[in-house]
Amino acid sequence: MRPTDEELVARHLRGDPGAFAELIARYTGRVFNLAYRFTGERAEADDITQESFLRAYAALPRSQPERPFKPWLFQIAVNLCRDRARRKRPVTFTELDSADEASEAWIETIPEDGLLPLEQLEVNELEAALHSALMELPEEDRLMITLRYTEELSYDEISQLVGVPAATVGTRLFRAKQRLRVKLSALREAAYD
Amino acid sequence: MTDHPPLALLEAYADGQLTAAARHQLEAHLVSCHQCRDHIAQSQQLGRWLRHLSPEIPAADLAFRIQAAVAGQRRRSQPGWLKPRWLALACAGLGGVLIFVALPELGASLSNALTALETNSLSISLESLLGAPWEALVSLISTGWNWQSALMESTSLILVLGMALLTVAALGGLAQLLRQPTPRNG
Repeated sequence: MRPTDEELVARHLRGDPGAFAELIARYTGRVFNLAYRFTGERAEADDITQESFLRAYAALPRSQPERPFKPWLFQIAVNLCRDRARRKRPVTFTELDSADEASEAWIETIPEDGLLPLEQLEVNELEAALHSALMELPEEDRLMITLRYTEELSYDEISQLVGVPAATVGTRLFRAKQRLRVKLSALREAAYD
Repeated sequence: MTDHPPLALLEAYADGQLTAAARHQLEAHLVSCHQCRDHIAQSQQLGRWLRHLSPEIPAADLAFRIQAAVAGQRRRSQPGWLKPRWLALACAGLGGVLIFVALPELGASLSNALTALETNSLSISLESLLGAPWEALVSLISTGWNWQSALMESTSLILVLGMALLTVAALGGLAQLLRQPTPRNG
């Protein structure tokens, strides 16, 4: 029977050298995907993934043993992603929201027609279009979508991880998906022009 | 109906993240609002596609490199004097010194042992073994006992101790090599 994350953490804290290696094997791909979705660069995602595990290894003896490992590890990765982005571009993430509200008032209305009839796309077209459109979104939008739909975290878990109220998580996800729909529409129109 | 709930609320409903009370209240509105129902349906559909979106796959050796980095961090966090390589070097050094001290006396010990052999007048020949195997065996055992007596001398003990420390050093070095992490695929 596959040990749970909490069991592996407990074994690691008791000195089992294979326990943390098992956690690395279990979460390397998922942390990498999260970091890549945020940064858009494989090399950067590589570095962030490694650094996340090194920091988790150093901090585990001091952390609360009952705390779920996955969201905690993701939080380390998200903090690293944001630190690197901040060094590249000194813009606060709250400012992004303010700018969006001013220029995207259309988001707050239900359109008469759907922005994108998704069912009209072929499956392979949709996969490529979704990936392309997703990577054109702002970093925080990509982060919210990845945490909710790839990692299946709840609004409460995302709220603790990202550091915003749960209601704000819903708002940000809604806006991210609206922007994604617009991108998908634009990509589809460009493809059929 | 023109009064719609906030779109973020519809989003949370589509994601199954509302409390039971909030969900019940919203569903009362949805009964008579096709616009909100359509929006929820589209949101759920987009959510399904996002869930099936293929993740970005890391390089095949990333997990192995991370394990090696963690192992390096673990070694660096150990007290310097406890690290296997330093313990092995210390054992090798001490063993070498003891052997160097004991070697001059080794010749004397061997000489004493050979003398004991001659004293016993043991002559183990092929002929003895074939002709009188039982007697030859008894002679071998008594000669072995004499060797044991010779080994009890202190200089020989020092030599044995030195060799034991060298063996510990060699085993420590082997353990160091075996501690290297092996690749594990996730």
